[in-house]
Amino acid sequence: MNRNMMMYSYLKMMNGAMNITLNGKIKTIPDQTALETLIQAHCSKPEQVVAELNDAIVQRKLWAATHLSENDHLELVSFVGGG
Amino acid sequence: MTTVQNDNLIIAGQTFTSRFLLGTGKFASKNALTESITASKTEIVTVALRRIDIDQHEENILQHIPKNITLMVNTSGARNAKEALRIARLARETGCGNWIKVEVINDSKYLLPDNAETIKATDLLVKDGFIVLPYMSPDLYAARELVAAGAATIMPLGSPIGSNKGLKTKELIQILIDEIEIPIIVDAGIGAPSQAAEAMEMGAAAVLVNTAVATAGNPPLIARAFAKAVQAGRLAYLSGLPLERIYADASSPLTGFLYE
Repeated sequence: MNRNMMMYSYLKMMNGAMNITLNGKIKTIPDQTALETLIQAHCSKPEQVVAELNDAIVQRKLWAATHLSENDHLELVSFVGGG
Repeated sequence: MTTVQNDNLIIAGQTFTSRFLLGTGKFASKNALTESITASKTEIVTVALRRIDIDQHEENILQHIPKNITLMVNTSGARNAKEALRIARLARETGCGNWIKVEVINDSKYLLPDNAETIKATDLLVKDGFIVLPYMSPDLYAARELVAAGAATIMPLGSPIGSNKGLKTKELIQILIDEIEIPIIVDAGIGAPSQAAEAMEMGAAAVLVNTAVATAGNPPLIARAFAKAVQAGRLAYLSGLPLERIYADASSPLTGFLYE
């Protein structure tokens, strides 16, 4: 069971869930998910990820304390090859 | 004198011995990228910033770039100055430094940079504390405005990105080299080591190549060839190339054979 699957089984156990837009796609996640929890679940190298929540960059040190809300727009970006 | 001392490339106060910059896109394998970086002896590479594919655990490019290399993040994907600033700020948040290659493009057929938006982006980014290396269409007025905005270098295109056509804008680039005080780095369109050498002979401070290395049959080998071509072109420039002439100028003494 990978981390994503663990998160979704966790989601089932939860009473509440909500929708956010993650990198342009609608995702259903548990209510009050911390940004850090979500990034750990979806990114293999969280240390190289940058998060932008509703058009504002969220500093890494604030990930754990930042809880997502219904209809949040979250962008997670990282480096790729480019010229 | 056959050696050149301290011929370093200086950008924003930082000293580099290599005058070859490498882009990291389009490599078929990460090994080919790492080997090409090593073979080219480059000290500056470009990378891009993109959304993570959240359903796939992708390999991160940074683990394939040696630690001592200066990373320059491009603003590819930006269509205007505001988007370039947004990308640059995201890039800085990664902690990988503050070098930004400004690339503002609206046209998907030729991928030509929008000079007006590039000037605006350079101004915004310099004020925000970035070291800015703008990619531009070679134009003297635009280059002067980029200098005034605080650009660290000017990076005119030789021909469209990925076209491998070489220095189609040669005479316009020469004007920039002759008139602009900060380093001119020819970026885009260089498709062969001979073209890189040509740019260096003209007096370009450096060249930036990606497609020609990444899509070659043997990327590390051509990377090595580029390194040598850039060095050869630089030495030729420093040597003071003789001028072209219309008519012949005999290499042997013009005297009657054996009679004088």
